[in-house]
Amino acid sequence: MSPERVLTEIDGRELSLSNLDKVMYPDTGFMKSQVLDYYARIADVMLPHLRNRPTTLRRFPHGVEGMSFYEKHAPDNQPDWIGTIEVPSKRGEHDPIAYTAVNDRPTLLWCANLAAIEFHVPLWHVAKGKPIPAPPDYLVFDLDPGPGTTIAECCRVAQWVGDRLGRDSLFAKTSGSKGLQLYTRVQRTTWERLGERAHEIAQAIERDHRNDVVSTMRKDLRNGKVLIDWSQNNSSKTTVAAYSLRARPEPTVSTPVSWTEVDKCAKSGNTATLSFETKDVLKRIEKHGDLMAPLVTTKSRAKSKI
Amino acid sequence: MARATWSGFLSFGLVSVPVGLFSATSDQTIHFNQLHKNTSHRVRYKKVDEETGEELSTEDIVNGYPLGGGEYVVVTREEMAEAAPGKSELIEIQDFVDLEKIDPIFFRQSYYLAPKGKGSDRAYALLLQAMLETKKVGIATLVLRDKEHLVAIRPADKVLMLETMFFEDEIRDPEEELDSLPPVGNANARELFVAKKLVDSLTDEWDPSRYKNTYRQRVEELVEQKRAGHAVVHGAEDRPKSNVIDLMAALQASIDRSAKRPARAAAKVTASSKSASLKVADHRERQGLDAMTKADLLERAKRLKIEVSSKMTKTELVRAVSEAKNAKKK
Repeated sequence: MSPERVLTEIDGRELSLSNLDKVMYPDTGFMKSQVLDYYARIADVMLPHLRNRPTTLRRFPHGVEGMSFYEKHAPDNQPDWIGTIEVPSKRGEHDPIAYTAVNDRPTLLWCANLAAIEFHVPLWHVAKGKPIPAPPDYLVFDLDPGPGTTIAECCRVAQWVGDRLGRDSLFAKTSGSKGLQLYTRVQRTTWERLGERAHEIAQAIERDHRNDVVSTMRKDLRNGKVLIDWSQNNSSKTTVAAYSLRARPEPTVSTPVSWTEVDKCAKSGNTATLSFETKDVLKRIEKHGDLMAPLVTTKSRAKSKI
Repeated sequence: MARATWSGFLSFGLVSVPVGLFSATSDQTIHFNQLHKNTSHRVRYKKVDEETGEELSTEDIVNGYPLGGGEYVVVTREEMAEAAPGKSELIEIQDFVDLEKIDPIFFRQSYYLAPKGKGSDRAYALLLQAMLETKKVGIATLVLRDKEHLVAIRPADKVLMLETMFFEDEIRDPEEELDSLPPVGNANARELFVAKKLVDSLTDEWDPSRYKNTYRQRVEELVEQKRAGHAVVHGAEDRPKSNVIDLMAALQASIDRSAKRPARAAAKVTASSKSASLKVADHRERQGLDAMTKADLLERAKRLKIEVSSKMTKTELVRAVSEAKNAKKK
């Protein structure tokens, strides 16, 4: 029998872990301890993508098949050593929300212990001397395959976006679910301009590829097409963080991929080549490190044309 | 540095100095969480309609100004916002007065007023020195958190202090509040002499470090003793410090335990072992029960015709219901 709670130590912090043997992914038997184990091992490469960003936790207290909820407010019982980021409401319609700041490994694990499977972050981070929300760091396109299409079609659309913005500054990751997400760093721009620019690019690609791409959310237009969701370029929107687990039947991960992999998948149509579970991701990291590291670390090199 | 509660300008005459306001005191009261005696779960406040018992959210609630006899004038948040004073950016010193002329009863709370930005240092130091040497305090008004405050700007040794103050109509008249106050000034001369001697003999320098909050110390000791004696109710996040183990080792132990247990996928393949898949199903059902409220569980128990009492804890109820259901299946 497993003890219900076990008091553990990591990086000098004490964490009381609960229900380690609980099955979170019933189809595969993937347990809470394995979720925690994954996050403990991936922390080094994942944290740069979370640090100083007000993080929304998607919690699954009864596993991925049970009900879930998005948690913005840092939980009441959050220990003192975990920081929060206060974000005022846009139009003053509610009190500021104190988000959890997932800045170190113990915090990441503390959240995962609350059955937070998914971590969602906005496109901006808090920094000294900058307003909240700060100006955007990235532009993101969420490529969402409509009925009858797969991530392979998303890869083709990614190539078109790459042609337009330049591949050097454009980074792709799987959503960990069905789609593909493209990020590029932006500098000295406003949220308004970012949203407009993203919309323009999406519409331009839609114009060039009417049969394959749609840029509006309307469900009835999406059959056989990939939606370029540009609407996430907004300070209050969040996107699943790189290396976050997803609540799918298998423990799949939102995984950064190379352009070679994007090209191959577009050509072969073999979607399995772009589906990664925790163990695959840990192996990839050992081999290649974080393919998206230049996005967070370099300020000037990965400058885009936007 | 702490975050400024307010920032703006301090102005007197033709000079204005950019300043920030920082709380000068900190509350050291011991805070407890309220727990349910039986379950040790945290207790929450809910706002409910007094008549219907319906739980309300902030949007459902307006302010009513009581007219007496159960009648109210309803004032909405929007209307309140219109009446609220605008946020002030400026503390404008209207008058300078002698500090000892202000009765301490007027003082509410102390803040430090710090210069903001290098350029402001000179004007700030000038004002501080002038006030120290003239032994004067400045009186001004300031809007903090939608409320207008009367404030006194007073010089301490190295810093300007801002004291929020009560308005005159907020101070109670002792003669109206208290029934009997004796006349003062006709004491017997000899008795007065002795009383004054006594006061003199007890007079000392003011030393705040000599006075401690002994009640807080006793509560802290009580908490410490109970913790040491392990008579602690375990909340969600604390346990005695013994048997702390390495996190990765704990995870590995759990993963090793699971190697012996079939996943649902595996259970399906070896379908002959019906008990394995049943076990998973039970497990999942149990989790469903865990998510139910106590009221739901009592209702469920009723339908299953099992004896339960509302005094049972939720865990006990979950166990009772899940056992009754299993018994039914078999």
